[in-house]
Amino acid sequence: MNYIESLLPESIKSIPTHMDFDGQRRAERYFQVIIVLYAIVGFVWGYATQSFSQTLYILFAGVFLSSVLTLVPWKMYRSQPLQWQPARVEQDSATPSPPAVTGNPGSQSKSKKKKIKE
Amino acid sequence: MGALDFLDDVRRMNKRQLYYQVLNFGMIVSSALMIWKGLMVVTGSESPIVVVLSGSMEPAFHRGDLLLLTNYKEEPIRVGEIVVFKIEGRDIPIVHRVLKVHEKVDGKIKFLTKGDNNSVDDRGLYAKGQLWLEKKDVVGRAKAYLPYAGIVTILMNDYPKFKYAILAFLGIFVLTHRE
Amino acid sequence: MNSFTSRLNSLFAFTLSVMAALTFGCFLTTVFNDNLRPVELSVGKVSVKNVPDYSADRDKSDLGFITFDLFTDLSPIFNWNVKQLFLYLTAEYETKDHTLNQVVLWDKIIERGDNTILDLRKANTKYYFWDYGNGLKGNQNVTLTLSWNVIPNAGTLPKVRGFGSHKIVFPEQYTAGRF
Repeated sequence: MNYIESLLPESIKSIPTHMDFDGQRRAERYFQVIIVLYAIVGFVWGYATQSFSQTLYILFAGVFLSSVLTLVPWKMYRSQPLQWQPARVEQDSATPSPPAVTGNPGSQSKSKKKKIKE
Repeated sequence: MGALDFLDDVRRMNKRQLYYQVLNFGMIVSSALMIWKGLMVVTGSESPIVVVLSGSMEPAFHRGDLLLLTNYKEEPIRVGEIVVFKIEGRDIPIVHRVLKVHEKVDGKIKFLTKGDNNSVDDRGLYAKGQLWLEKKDVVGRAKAYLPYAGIVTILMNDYPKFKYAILAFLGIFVLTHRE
Repeated sequence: MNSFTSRLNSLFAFTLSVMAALTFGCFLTTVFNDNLRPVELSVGKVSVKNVPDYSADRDKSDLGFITFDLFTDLSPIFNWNVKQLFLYLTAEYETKDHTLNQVVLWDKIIERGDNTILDLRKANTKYYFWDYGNGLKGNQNVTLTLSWNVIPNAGTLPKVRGFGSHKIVFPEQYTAGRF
């Protein structure tokens, strides 16, 4: 899969395919509501015509509609992107960040000394 | 990549989580067993749910349909009923309809069966020299029907490799996935 | 819900549960039907012979011959949860060896969409009317009934005896010769 993805031209790769969190919630709600509505209509119609296959056909129509509406990541599911906190500006971004503390005070002090020399 | 994701999942688990997963797996297996044994008690049948494996009862039952059986002692066997019975020397029980019944004063019963889709009765299917079925041969009588619900069993029967693939996949899935 | 496959998975699972609920609802709307219908039955010529039953134990047994007329309209039984009816014509009688004998003489499958009005005249039986022993000659009390087993789309498998029966009186003498 990854190999195929790497072959795609940039123009296709740049098409957004994600849903934001609110979009995911709405997508799930939409297909539930659509399928249940079609199921109810199908049940009533099937009972009226005394044919259970009609009920199932109507249900499948609802499943198809909801698949088209919610499986595809349409643009409307990206309407509320996450509001990230603005990146905090480091005070002295010029100096490199201190090395990770490895629990060896000796090496740490050494590096400190180096810094001072510089 | 994707296929080996689960290894990564396992590596990230600690001991406690691993135990939890194993216990969870055991929970699923034992509750399935409990339901099965419970149904055996309620229905009185040694195999309360069967999957139709042959087309001999078409068009009523097709391969892969599910039947719920009961086998109460006091319930008499009558003509027209669909019974599941075992024949000596055959592993798989047969689902067929009762065609003839002869009952003696003491309640001893002899009956003959036939599949709806077969042109002759079942005497050719019975053990050599056996002309009638008796109550002890009966595993259960069909009481309810659910179409297609046992289709996975049919697939597993027809393609044994599929069965092992499913079992392996389910086992790995249950053991490695964290909720 | 973040990927196409996870959405597909939950949509499929949800559809299956809705389908199960619909099927159960359909079953609930029909579970209290009695499926009872009147049946007009009568017999034409009746005879009995005493010949070896080569299909069974080769002993000389009574073999009855009847022709029958039958009229019934079963269309009201077909509701949205009936896939098929299995009709069977039963002869029920008592002999000195057996307190209850039931022999199916004729059966028919009516599927959804088939003709539901049955009008048979001078019909022959589909199966041989073998008694288990010699209990047909002079038997004054052989009851002929039509019953049906309702096969649903999903649900229970009710067995209903049609309203109306006919009593057969067998002659006191065996018929000689071939048929």
